[in-house]
Amino acid sequence: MKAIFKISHYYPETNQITIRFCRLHAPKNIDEYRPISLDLGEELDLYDIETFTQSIMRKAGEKWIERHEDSEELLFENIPETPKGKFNMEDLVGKVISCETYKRYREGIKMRKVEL
Amino acid sequence: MTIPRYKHFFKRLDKFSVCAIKADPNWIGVERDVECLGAYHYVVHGRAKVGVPFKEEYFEVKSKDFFSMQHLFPTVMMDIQDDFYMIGFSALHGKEKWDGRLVTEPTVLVQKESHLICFDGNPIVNGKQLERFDYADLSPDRTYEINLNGGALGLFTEVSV
Repeated sequence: MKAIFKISHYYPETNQITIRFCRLHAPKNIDEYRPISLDLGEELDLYDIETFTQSIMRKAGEKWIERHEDSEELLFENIPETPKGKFNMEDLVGKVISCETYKRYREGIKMRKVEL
Repeated sequence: MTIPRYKHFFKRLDKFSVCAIKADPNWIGVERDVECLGAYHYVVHGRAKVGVPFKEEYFEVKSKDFFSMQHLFPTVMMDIQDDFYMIGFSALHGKEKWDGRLVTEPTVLVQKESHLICFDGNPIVNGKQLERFDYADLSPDRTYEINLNGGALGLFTEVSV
């Protein structure tokens, strides 16, 4: 899943930002999602843009995107069911079944290019 | 019971990628080349057994070893013996072929564009002190004076196919 964020305000005096997160393919304009305030000094890696985006997604983005998803309207046709008992492919055909997606994290490396 | 932990690090650059893993003792993992095209590796610390799943043959790597896993592809298994930290040099695409080695000589002159990566310590190259994960492009028309200073530098050149 790809995500996006948009920083609407930066407060240098308090080192804080106001930011919104949502999925890249979210059903609404990112500006319609709830803004949150974040302290840049806490657990955010400001080394470069890549480390910043990774750390901000981990610190706040993933949590807020999950919350958005949970609060978004669920289409009646997408309401899942939980089949039980022996596996039988015939029983699964045509049913909507919920499942967890797998997350595999890779952290960035702070590389520095040196001119020799 | 403590479950061994594992962390994977990755940085894609213009011409190659650098990856790294940190793993606890007793961690066992399997990777396919589609996930990590690590061509060469340097062990910063720790020990591990490296082999192919379901095959008896394996080799051991330890701190300061520089080695290739390419001959084991497409599937590689690692059995971590000690607290382990390894850095890898990866091609951007599976078809690319690279030569890689640790620098041991005091002067380097390359035949074609190459790349230096600092794996450990603070080597000094042409008067500039490097640290881990610093990298530089080397031109064939220049000579590079190397003082390893107890550190480790990898030298990588793409091979024409």
